[in-house]
Amino acid sequence: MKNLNRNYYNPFFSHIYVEHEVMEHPRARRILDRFAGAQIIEISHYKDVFCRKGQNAALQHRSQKLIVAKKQGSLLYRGALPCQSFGNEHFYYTSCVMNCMYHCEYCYLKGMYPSGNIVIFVNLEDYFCEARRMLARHPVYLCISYDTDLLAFEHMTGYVAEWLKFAKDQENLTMEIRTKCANRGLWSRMPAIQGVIYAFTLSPQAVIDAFEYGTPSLEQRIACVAEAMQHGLAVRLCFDPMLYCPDWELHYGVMLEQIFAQIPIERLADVSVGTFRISQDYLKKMRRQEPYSAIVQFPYQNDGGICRYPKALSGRMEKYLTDRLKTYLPAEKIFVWEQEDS
Amino acid sequence: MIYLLTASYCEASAWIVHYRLKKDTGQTRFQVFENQDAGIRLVITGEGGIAAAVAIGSIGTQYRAGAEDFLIHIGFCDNTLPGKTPASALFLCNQILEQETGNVYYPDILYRHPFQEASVCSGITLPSQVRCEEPIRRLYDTQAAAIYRAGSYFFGPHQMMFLKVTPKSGQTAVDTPEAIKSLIGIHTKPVAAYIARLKAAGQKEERQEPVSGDLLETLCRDLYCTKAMSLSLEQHIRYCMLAGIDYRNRIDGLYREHKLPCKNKREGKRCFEELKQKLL
Repeated sequence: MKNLNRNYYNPFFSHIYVEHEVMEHPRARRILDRFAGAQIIEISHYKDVFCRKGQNAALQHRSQKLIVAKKQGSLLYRGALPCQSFGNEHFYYTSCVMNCMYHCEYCYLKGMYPSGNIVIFVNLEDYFCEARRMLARHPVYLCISYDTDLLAFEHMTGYVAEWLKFAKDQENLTMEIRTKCANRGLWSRMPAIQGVIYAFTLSPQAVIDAFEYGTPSLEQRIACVAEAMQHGLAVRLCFDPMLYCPDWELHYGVMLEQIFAQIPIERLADVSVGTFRISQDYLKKMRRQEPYSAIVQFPYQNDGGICRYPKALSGRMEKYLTDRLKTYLPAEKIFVWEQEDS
Repeated sequence: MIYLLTASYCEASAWIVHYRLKKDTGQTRFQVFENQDAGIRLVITGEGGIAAAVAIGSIGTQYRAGAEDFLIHIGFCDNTLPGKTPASALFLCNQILEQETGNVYYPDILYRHPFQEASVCSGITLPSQVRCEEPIRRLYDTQAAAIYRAGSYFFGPHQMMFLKVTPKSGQTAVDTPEAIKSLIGIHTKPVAAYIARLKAAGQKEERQEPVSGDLLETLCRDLYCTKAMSLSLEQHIRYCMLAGIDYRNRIDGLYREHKLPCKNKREGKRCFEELKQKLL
């Protein structure tokens, strides 16, 4: 049966809030041209809209608005504790887009941001400039698609292509682009560049159906991965977060079979494995906002401010996956997230 | 509940008639009209921002306005927008500029509506007194900013709507109550349809209360739970309910095995750990 509830809400991006300062910026114009029918509202600072008191991010996700702005202050941040560093000493991430068009029930962004709306920063040159300054001092491992899914926005922003142009000339840069997107049409426009890794988050179809609303199916993601590899792109598979559900072993087993059948797994750059974990502060906020979400209401164990499955369970889940992967990949290509002792 | 706010009776009368609202004679500070069955409560605040803020504080506290409610301000204002408007128009405000402070407030426009949108400048200075070389591109009123600020104590930005009715272009002074009443009345039908949509969207989905208080109380007593243990147990049971796990059977199993009720705290702690494992 059709969900009539959806008819109550305005379409996505029905309203675009634009900072006065960037109203004529070419990247802002490009976005505005793409949504010619949208109501444009001029604002002085993105936080006037994004950081309002009392917002309901879950409802906003049903009618997301765009905020186009210029980012000021720090542009590159140190990788957070719950994130996998893949053995890189200088691990940073950056957010030229905040928030995501996908609606994953467990996503930490719901606990991190006060709003469900999407902010696009147009001053990419400032990001490049800061990255260059950092690269002059030491090698950098930079994740550009953490607080969003940059590839899912590529048709609107073209930001991945711009980051690739930047990365082409940087010797000491390793750049990760994490995604759940399955737009195979993108690859012909994405040159293979040394140091650029496309990291695909894969989940069993049962998990996608239950918790990852609006994301491509497992089948579509696998096909996209296979095609990216055919184009010679470096690909990482992220089984992270692994989510607990009844029959998790069965679901993850089926997923692995599908992957092994379609992807030359030995040619992967590496894989990452990690059970779901989240900062206690984010989880607290998410529990208030999503009182009926099983995944958010799971009785996680709090280890030094990071909430995760009980050790025995997470150990069992991670071991299951790594053992299966080890039959195809050398151990040094399998990264399992481990909590550092604080 | 939908809370309708108007400054004067002439702005309210169309809604009183449409929704068959009855005056709440128990209210002495402000005139309140309501129809519980229709889920509408209308408050006549009196003119100006301070009166509006006080009215919201009063009704918000008294009726415990909250997550499933909406606050809709409907008011008349002069037509100061550029371009010709051949007839009376109704605008939904997407931006409220507070004259005195320069602060700008943004009500969320999440729900579909058939109205034009506009920005409103809210304060005590009338548009004719504003010195501005550029053409005025805003509506002007005296209440919206105060309503937004006071309303924020009870409502989120997605729960507050600001509707402004304007006369046709050039008609800048509509000064009789009858004229205002008639202008507002023109827009009763689309506004009522919008309100019906909000009510439908705001209806809380019927959900079972996640954790039964009686069960938890008994279990905590039988396990000699500390406060921390009780909270943990509640979280486990809440998860089981949401995940469709038959937690009652697993708890009953412990009673059947005579592990529950426990005899002392030490036994309770051991049984608590066992129960947590069984529940997951």
